[in-house]
Amino acid sequence: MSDREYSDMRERLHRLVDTPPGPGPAREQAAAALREAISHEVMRRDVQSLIEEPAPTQRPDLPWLDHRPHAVRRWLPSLGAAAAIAAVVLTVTLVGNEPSALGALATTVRTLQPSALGEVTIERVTLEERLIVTEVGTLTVPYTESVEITERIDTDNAVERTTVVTSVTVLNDEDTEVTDRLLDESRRTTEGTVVYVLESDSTDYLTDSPDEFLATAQVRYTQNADPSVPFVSFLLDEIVSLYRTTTPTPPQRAAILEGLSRINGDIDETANPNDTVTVTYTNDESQGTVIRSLTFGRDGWLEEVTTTFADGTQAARVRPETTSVVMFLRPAAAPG
Amino acid sequence: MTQGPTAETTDAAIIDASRSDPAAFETIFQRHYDALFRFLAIRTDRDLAAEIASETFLVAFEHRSDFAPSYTSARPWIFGIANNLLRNSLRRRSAQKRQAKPLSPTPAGFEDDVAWRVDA
Repeated sequence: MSDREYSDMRERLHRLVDTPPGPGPAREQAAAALREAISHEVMRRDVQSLIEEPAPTQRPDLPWLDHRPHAVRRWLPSLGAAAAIAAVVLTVTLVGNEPSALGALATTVRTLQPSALGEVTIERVTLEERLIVTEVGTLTVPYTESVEITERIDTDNAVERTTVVTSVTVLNDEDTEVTDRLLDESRRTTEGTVVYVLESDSTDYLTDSPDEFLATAQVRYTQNADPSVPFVSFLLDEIVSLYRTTTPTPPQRAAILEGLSRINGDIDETANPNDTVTVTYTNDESQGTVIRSLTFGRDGWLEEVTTTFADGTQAARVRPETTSVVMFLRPAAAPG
Repeated sequence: MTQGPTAETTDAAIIDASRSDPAAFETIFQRHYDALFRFLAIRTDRDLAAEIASETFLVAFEHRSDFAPSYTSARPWIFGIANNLLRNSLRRRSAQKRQAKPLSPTPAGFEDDVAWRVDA
């Protein structure tokens, strides 16, 4: 063994002898460092779990906003804001023991002949929507401008739809830049059109039982809705979304109408001369009143959704009495 | 409430549990710190040994999902981490020492040599 090797060995032996067997300041510091790392991880997990909690996918009063392509969505923050404003006040209640117009309609729908179920087997369904928006938010345009957006929705199945923006027109076209910008953005995607897929979990609602329909709504309301949004408001949104993204059969439509008719005292039902039924619900709060109407045809299809911002909304630049109308055209082969 | 690990609970089971309950990993620290410190203190000075021992458990905690559950004891795995950390640390130290040395020390008699050449 050389002197050098001997010296190294002696040094190692000394170190071994001198080394404390365990606890000491170093140990405590190491333990503290590890505990800190553990607590960071626990905190990170907590935050992660909060982020991953399912967030409400629909805006309270305008669920279709979330289904718009980006270019269109930029135009609509005002309506979203107006929707967020709402709290509840009921305008009209059902009167005494008068038969519910919705209930009667539901009965009619239930008695539709099986032969009238043709629309269920249709491979492609075409819906058209006409949405008039007055706003503008992020774009540098006065709120007096209006745009008309027409969409064609082609459906390959009940869950996914491909929507093509077929035209964008400025009704009051003093500022044509708005139109151009929107069209440019559309063209940038797919040669003049914006193609996107609507994914919907509205099929959860499709049932022949009104009880089940309401139970599903209650569960989803509890899980997803902003607590400040009234249940009725949430339910109407869900129904609009449901008709927009699925093709319910007559028994399913009847269940929807029956379920809706059981929301006693919260909505106003009006039987129209043309056998349609309009359901009206009013949200009111200090910043504005929003009146929503859903009109169902005599076969139970949702035909039209009207949203009126009675007082307008200053923050969202919506003028008083501004009305948004969305017309739903029933599938081509559906019973009239 | 879940029951804490007993003396019979294997390291593998504890590490597995720590994936859902990170605090369980502290048991691994309690079990192996002293041995790890001795292992390191033989190989380097005590300050660095303490530093590496602490870092080892942080690295082990961070990478606990990499621990192969087929090994009952975590000691070889932890010592392996420590060994790597120590090696890297010593390598850094030695590089720092090299950098601290002058790049081209002036040889003895250099000035005389230059003077002689100039005179020549």
